[in-house]
Amino acid sequence: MTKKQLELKGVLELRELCRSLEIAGYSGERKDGLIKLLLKYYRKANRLKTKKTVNIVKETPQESYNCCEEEEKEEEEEEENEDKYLEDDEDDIETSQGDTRIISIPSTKTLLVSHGANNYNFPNFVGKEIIDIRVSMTEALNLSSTGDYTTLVDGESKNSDYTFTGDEQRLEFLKEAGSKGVK
Amino acid sequence: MNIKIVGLGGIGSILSDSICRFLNYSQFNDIEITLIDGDEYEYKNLERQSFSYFENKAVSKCKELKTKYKNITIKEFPQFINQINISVIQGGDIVLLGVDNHKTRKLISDYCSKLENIILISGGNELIDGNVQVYIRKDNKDITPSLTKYHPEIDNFIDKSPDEMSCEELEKTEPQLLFTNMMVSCFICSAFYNIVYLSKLEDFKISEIYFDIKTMCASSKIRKP
Repeated sequence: MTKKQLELKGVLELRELCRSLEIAGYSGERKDGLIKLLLKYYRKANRLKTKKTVNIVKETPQESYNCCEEEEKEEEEEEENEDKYLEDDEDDIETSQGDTRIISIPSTKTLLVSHGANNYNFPNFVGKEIIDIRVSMTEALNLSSTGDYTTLVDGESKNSDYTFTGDEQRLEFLKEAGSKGVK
Repeated sequence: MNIKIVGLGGIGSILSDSICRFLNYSQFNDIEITLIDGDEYEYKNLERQSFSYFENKAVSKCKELKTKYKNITIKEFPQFINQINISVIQGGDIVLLGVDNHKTRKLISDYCSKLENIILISGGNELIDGNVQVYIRKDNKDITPSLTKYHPEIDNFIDKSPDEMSCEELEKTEPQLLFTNMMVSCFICSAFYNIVYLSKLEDFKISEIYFDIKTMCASSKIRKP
């Protein structure tokens, strides 16, 4: 999201965005302050994401050193060019090593968490474990605080220590089938 | 098209009429519907189930539907499904299951998992919430998961089928609500319509639908087979 795009939003929208991204200290800020906070947040998250991707891509210590140098350079550039910040979804950047890094905006993407008929769109799920989400969702999704649940991430069974990377779309706490029964 | 409706209680009695009505006036030819239940219609069923005669539910419903819908073939099978007679279900059938015990659900799901082609839609409910599961197999391959795959309570059932229960046990039924039964029946019909009319079988992804009539919410689930 660019600075211009943020400027087009109302104060309430910006506050809501800050709240959903769990940015601290936004409540007393006016529009300019909120935009600054958001840009700072995006920049920081973007760097983190880039670091992660580069770490995955690099193979030799030499390459790693080059990547770091480049990263520092980029940081400086980024600070200078606050205005033209971040395109909508993803930008591919060619590094000096010829590797492709993926730079993406931190998520306003949410995870659809469900239990039975209840659904909830969970924000900021990247880096969280299933167990963390279960704890926060116990009341909203009417989950038992003690019982064991089979958990499915995008339709596949996962353990409760599974950590979300950001590519997931759905988390389901499995509810028992109705028995319509004689007991 | 061969359809087997298993269980003609709160869900099946509503479902059978809707499915017969729909297919009677549809474009499909050669439709055969078999109604399967070994239970008798009794006074205690009056608040949720509609039958014309106090006798076996499959026999009673069959008589009633035959007089209403002349363009389709309706048959009765007045027995509870068990290991011996389960071969009444055959490859290529569409099975609509509205039974009240996990033992029969598992029996039928396991049996279907050995057939080359089958569509099994099973519904169940508690007082105010319920679910419908869809199990599709095509060319010996599961398109959606079986009823037991993600439901250990069905796989490791602790209940009995109705033909194993004493009269005393049968009297101890959990309270049921007509509207919840109707919702299950409705979701079974919508899954049936979706599979038969709207989707390519191999593209159908919904494996289960949950609903709750208190919160008035419904949620469909996509799971890997």
